Amino acid sequence: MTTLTQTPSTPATTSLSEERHYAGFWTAAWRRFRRNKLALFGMVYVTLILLVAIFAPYITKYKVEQIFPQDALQGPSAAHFFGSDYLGRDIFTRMVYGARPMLIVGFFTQIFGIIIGTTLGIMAGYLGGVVDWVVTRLVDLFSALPWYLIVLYLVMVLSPSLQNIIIALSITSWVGSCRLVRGLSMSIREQEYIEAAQALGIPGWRVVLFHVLPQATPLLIWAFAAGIPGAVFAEASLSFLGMGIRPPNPSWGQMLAEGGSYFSYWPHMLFFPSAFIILSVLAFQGLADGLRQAVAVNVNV
Amino acid sequence: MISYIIRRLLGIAVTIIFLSLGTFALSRTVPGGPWMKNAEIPMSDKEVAAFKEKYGLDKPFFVQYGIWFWNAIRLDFGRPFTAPELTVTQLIFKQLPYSITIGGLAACLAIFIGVILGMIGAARSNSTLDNVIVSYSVVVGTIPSFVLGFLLAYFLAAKLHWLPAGGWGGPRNWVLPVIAYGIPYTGGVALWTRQCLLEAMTSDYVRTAYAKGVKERMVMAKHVLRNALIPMITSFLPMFPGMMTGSIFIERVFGLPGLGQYFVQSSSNRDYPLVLGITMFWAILIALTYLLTDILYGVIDPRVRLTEKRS
Amino acid sequence: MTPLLDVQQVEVAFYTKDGVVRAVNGISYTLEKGDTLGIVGESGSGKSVSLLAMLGLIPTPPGKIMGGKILYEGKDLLQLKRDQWSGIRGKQIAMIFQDPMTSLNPVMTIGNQIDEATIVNLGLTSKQARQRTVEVLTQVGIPRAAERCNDFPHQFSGGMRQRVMIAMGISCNPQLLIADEPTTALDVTIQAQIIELVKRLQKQMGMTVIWVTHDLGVVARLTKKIIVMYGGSIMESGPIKPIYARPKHPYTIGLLASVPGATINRSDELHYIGGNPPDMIRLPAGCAFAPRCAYQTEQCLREKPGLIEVGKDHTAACWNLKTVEQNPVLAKSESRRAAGSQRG
Repeated sequence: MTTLTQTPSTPATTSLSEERHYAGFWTAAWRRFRRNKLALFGMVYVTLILLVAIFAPYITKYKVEQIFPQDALQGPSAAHFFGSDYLGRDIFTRMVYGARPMLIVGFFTQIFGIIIGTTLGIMAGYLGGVVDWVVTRLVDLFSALPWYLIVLYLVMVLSPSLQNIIIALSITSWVGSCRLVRGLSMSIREQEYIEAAQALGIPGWRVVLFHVLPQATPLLIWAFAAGIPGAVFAEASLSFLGMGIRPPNPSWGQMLAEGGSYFSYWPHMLFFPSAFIILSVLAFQGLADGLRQAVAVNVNV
Repeated sequence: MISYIIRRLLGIAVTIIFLSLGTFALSRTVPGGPWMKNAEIPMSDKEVAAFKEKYGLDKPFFVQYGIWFWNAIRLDFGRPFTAPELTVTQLIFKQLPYSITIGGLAACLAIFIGVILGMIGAARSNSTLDNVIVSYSVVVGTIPSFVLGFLLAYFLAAKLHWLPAGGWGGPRNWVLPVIAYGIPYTGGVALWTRQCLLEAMTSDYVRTAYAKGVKERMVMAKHVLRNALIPMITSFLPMFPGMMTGSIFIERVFGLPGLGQYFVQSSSNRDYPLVLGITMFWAILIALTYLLTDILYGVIDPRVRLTEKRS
Repeated sequence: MTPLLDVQQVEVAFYTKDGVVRAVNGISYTLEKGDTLGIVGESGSGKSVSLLAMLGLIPTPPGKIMGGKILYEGKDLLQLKRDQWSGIRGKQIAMIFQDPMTSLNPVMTIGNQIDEATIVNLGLTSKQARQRTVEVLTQVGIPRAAERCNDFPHQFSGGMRQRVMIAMGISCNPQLLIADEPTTALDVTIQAQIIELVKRLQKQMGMTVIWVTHDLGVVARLTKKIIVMYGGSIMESGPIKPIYARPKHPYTIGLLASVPGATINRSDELHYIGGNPPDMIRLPAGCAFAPRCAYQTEQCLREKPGLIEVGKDHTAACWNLKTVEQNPVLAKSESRRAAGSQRG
């Protein structure tokens, strides 16, 4: 082609790439992140809730299981900020401690899910052939049913507990990252520099480690962030159905189910879990959206 | 076309067989059932033995699976442990209408409201109204239906006494569950509709249509809508079986006797025949909907020839 | 006699999140009936945008016409309201686009797409329209035109699709045909066929043609008059022969020097213009090309040069035409050095 200049021609509006030149990738990413109000809210909220969960014993003066029989079913007051439940337990305390299983489930299921998904995805995409066939069938299998049916079934088999929810949710949450990574490694495998690397006799594991994985990293960071709201949602849903965190350990979903029996007369038992479940899912979602825009990952989900 | 359908049906069959084998294996390898020590009504050893014999649980694994499979392909999933007066199939078809009604109506509501919002957003893209719609969609999409269900029940039923808070009577009882279940999905529908429309509206072929002198209304009807509808239909159709299965949560809130309630109950009772039956039933329903969607896709989009598998 | 087209000081901007993209910054030219005009420039130089404005096809928002006039047979097209375009678009002025793959509706048969133009603009019945469609498809060289009317765009090859686009363009006998880089996406051999096709049609139908491209070779084969654009402004314009033989503007000189095997420069080395294409959000106050120009002076950065007559119908926008005249080699050789300093 008889092009005019040696520089690659860029359309007038590609200021994103310009910003990379001028301001550095992370500065630009932060600038894009900052523009998203919901993402900022998400970041602040998630930081706060993390601190609350970690320093729970210092935040509330009561114990999780402490019962004040004379205070049962009281509305919010100075003694019980969020009121108390039907046994006379302090709802604020239970909310504070209930943030723990939510965050633990959210983070760990995503970490395990991504490890499983990335491993299978790279194997399928990079090795192809039989491995790819098997992995694709597995993905099909897990996509054939909605996640809650699989998870409920697994929890039923394993019996409900924090650890088993994490196992069950990890087993269902690898599918997304597996698809992403499989696609990416397939496209990378076709690229010429990989062929060149192979021609030079560089072993496959090195290619995967130094070429495929680094390219997948931004995608995986995003997939990690994007999966957390779903996991938070899932933990609340399972606990709500009584298939998650078991009493006496508190969980927001379980508290919501308890509140559901009393809401006509004591709505405070319902409102605090409701509000914080919604806020948490929204915050994690906002954070994930902000991250996606910030690192400019294009994902078609 | 016919060979494509046959091939897809075979693929579905293979998936379902593997799924059933997996779930069946899990149910048999991990001990547990109504005969467990911690069950509500503990059974004596003799009763347990009789129970196991009755349900064929004393036979080797593959024999058990073989028997189960042979019966399953004749739609006989056995009898539930917990309700032996009915077969699993009878129970499914008895409870199914509740889930179909609530899930189906909620899907209709979500699509109806979502599409309207999405169209408004696309027509006035980047206006304040559009921003409001997008924000609404993002926020509403994160609300769990059971949370919204409780909130609606509190305000509209307990406080204002406008509508019944639960139970299964006439259509008045459906209103709250359908709204609580449908509203969170309006967000996703609105965003997808908006995106499909905007993509079509800013496409080169729409510019071509304007350039050749076609008026705006005609461009919208003949070029924008026709192209945007393809991805819309193919993603909205699978919402129906998805929402019918997902009504578990909303059924719990409003105490509806749908299939989801039975799934949860039978899960906590480890009622394997019922759980397996319901799982297989939903899996087949969902797989067939995807097949239908793909066939429809091939019919409405001339670029798709139904010979290769869509990824 | 008034010219067919009189473009006066047109300015177009796009309001994006990152800032205001000044896509077109006051361009003016006239075009007589039956002429062929070539508009040359890099991607993002504003050449396509200025033509989309001519058909009211700038998406607003984010686009906005900031000023100027486009007089077509004395009527200002920029003043037309949304519903006043009938009779102009497709009927008077037709446009064919760069990418024939995406510019045709994928879910409509090409027959229906071409019918639509004649039904809307000429009021034909669908039967007459189909007759006309077969006629134009044959005219642009599509074999078995009647059968192929029922095919969808994806069933055609790239070159054939562009022929379909051209058939659609000429179906209503427009006076002015705007071709926006119609050959860019095609193979070189197909490019030549399309160029010959348009040339033939132009002769047969007496159309006026504006051909936009970044390919100087294409322009040389097609047009008598060219406009060279950079950063949304006209750098040089005039008849093709003097411009190719003795370019006046440093940008044009560099441009021509960078064409391999072009008549003007047969030295061993292939030249290129140093630096980056302009950032259309942060355009310099003066000449858009100044940051990459070897003759750059302080005035260039400060003040925007106007078009200066340098020959018969031949104008160039540069403050230092004399210096360039005296030392034209600098534009070629120095561009390298300029590139080095820019990159650092």
